[in-house]
Formats: sequence, structure tokens, C-alpha cells
Amino acid sequence: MSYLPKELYWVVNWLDTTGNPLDAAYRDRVRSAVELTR
Amino acid sequence: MASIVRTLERAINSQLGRVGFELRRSADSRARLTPRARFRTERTAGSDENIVADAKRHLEHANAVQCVLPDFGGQWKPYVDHIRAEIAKITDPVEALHFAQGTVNFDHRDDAGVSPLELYDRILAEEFPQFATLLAEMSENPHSVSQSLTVVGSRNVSNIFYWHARLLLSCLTHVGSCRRITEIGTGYGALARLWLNHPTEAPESYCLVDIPESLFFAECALRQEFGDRVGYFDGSDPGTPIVLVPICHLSTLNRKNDIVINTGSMQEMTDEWIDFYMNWLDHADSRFFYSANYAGQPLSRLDESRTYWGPRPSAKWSTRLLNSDIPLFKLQSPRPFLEAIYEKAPASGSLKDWSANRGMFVTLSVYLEGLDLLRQSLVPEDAHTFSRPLSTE
Repeated sequence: MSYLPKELYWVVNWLDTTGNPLDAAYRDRVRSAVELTR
Repeated sequence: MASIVRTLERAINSQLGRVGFELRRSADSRARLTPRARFRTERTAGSDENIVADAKRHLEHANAVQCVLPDFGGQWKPYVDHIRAEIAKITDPVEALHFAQGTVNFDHRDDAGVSPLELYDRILAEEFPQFATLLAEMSENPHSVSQSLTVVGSRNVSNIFYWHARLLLSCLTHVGSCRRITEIGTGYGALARLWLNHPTEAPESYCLVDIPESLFFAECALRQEFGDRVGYFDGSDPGTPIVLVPICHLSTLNRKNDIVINTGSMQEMTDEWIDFYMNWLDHADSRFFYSANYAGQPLSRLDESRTYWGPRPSAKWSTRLLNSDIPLFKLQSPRPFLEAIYEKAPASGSLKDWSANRGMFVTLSVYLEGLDLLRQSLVPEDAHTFSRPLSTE
């Protein structure tokens, strides 16, 4: 895809709660994309 | 005097309706002779003033009920407060309908002068050729905001009419007969109205679930057309074919359903509300769940979206349809939509079957396919597998 879709943000946060997070760079990229609009 | 005029209009329309016409008031309050929908139900309700007064009373009672529900969030709460204040000024069902269509923006109603309505008609007739005759017989509420209406094929239509007609035709195509329906997030009841006017498949039970402020508008619109067939769930089931259910009473609603429908509203709910409804769905007596909501929007452009993933049925639901390639939706909205039908049966999908794992590029439809497979087996390992191809795009 040419962009980060919104459901990824849910998946990133959910994985954090399971103790199996995605790598930090990926998480930062997803979260910074949300901060542009929220 | 106003009530005498309305009584006369109703009497005249009763006769005109036999030959397919009616008197309809336009925005300048002048009555005009217009084609009438073939399937309009004769009104059996009291006066228009009584309809509005009853709806206000129901709104007041529902808001007095103490119940624990998720918070509306900072976006919706001020909006709901504003709507409540405006409702106090409304005195007529048509005024309520126009406020719902023009100010609340329950839907994306366009001026008929700028909508390619004949194109919408052709697109739906080609997508659902088996229902072309039915489509030609369906029509928009003639009391709708006049600027949004025009006549195509001898009946009133609007861009929103085609949007709702497509939802209905899709359900009929894939699910078949839907005689018992519960709709979540109903707005002013436009989709319900189309179902209830169906010439042969009109539901015997239609429950509309929403916040009380929205149900005010649905009550005004539906009681004006369906009269005493419309009841209000005030803690007990009124036993009417059409029931307005304020969200505070959802847990005590106990009707069987062929299908639960949600269109264009879960996308605007918070994740807490999605959890609330998904939990309710797991316990509701329904075979199917139909959804048409935003999905796969860019994180950098969320617009009205509040949930990050919703609806998100549990693994108790199998997927029967995923469709993000709907010509009519693309013509009417720049946002990506997913139409989905789930059946209450244990999900058995696996990310092992994801097209992306067989070398397909991750387009919107492939992404949504993977997301749904993850939904069916939500474990950390699969979430990593799902996220990996997206990190390299």
C-alpha cells in the first residue's frame, strides 16, 4: 500500500498489551502518522 | 388552520395516490403535484403535532434512564447537546426530516442538480440486474429536502436513495430474505423506510437502535409514513412491527433477527463503543451481521473516523463477504469503504491463506483480506505476520 492504514494503529497498540510489540521504529512511524490528524 | 390544511392535503393525497401522484410541499412551501411512490403505506397516525410531541416525550424519558454506557467522546458529546437544543424548536415532522437531512448530516445528501442520478440508477441496475424491476419501483421519501430530489423513471430519487437502495439490494442478493432486522445507528430511518416499503420482502420486525436524539428523527419520519406500526421500546417491547430502541434499553431487547445491519456509523464510534457492540453481537440472536463502513483509511487522513478498527466481530463470526470495490460508493465518497457480511459460525480463516503470502501486492482489498484473517485468529504471531508486508511499502 502507498500509505499506513488506520487499523495498523490498533494492531500496534494491541501488540503492546500482549508483551510482543513490533519494533520501535515501526511503532513510531505508525504513531507519528496518527498524531498528524489527532 | 395549519392542521386543517394538512388534513385536506392528506385527503387529497389519498385520492391522488390511487393514480400515482401526490401533493408535496417544496422548500418555498408551495404544494406541487409529483409522482408518488407505489408502495407508500397509508398513514394511520394522529396529527403531525402529536407525532412530534410523542417523539419529544420519548426522547426525554430515554434520557432519564440511568445506564452505564461508553462515553460519547469529545467529538460527539457537544454535537449531541446541540442537536437536543435544536429538537426543542421543532414542531413538525417534515421540519424534523429536513433538519436531519440538511443540518445533522446523517447522510451525505447532495443537491440533485449536481448529482449524476441517472448514472447511479444505471450502475445499480447493472450491478443487480435481477432486481432492476424492484429498483425501478423503489423511491425516496417525497417529503425529503426538495433540492435533493428529482424524478428518474417516474419516481422520486436522490443520491442518498441510491446509496441506501444498494445496501438493501446487496443484503437481498447475498443473504436472501431478511424478515427480521435490527439496525444499529439508524439516523432518521431512511434505510428502514426502504426495507419497510419493499413490495414482497418487507420485514415483519424491524428494530432501530440508536441514541435517543437520533431516534427522535426516526420516530418523526417513520410515524408520519407508517403510523401506529411504529412503537417505542421504553423498557418493554411494544409489540409493534417497527420498534425504536434507545441504546440504554438494548440489553433488554429480545427479538430474533435474520440480520443485524450497521452502515456508515460504527466508523465514527470510539473503540470502546465498538467493543460494546461486538460484545452485544456475540449474544444477539442473529444469523448474519452486515456492515458497510470506512476501512483502510490512511492514518494521515482519518476524517470522521474515531475507531481504529471497527466493526471487528469476534472469532464467533465467519466471513461470507468482503467487498471494497463498489462503484456507487466510490462515486459518492472519496473514503475507502468495506462492505462485509459475517455469519455467526466459528471462524476458521488463517493468515496462511493470505494472498500477500502468495506473492500478491498489498492493495486495499488484499490488505482488508489479511486484516479479516487476522480478526479470525487474533494472536501476536499472526499480528506480526500481518504487519510485516505493510512496513516495507
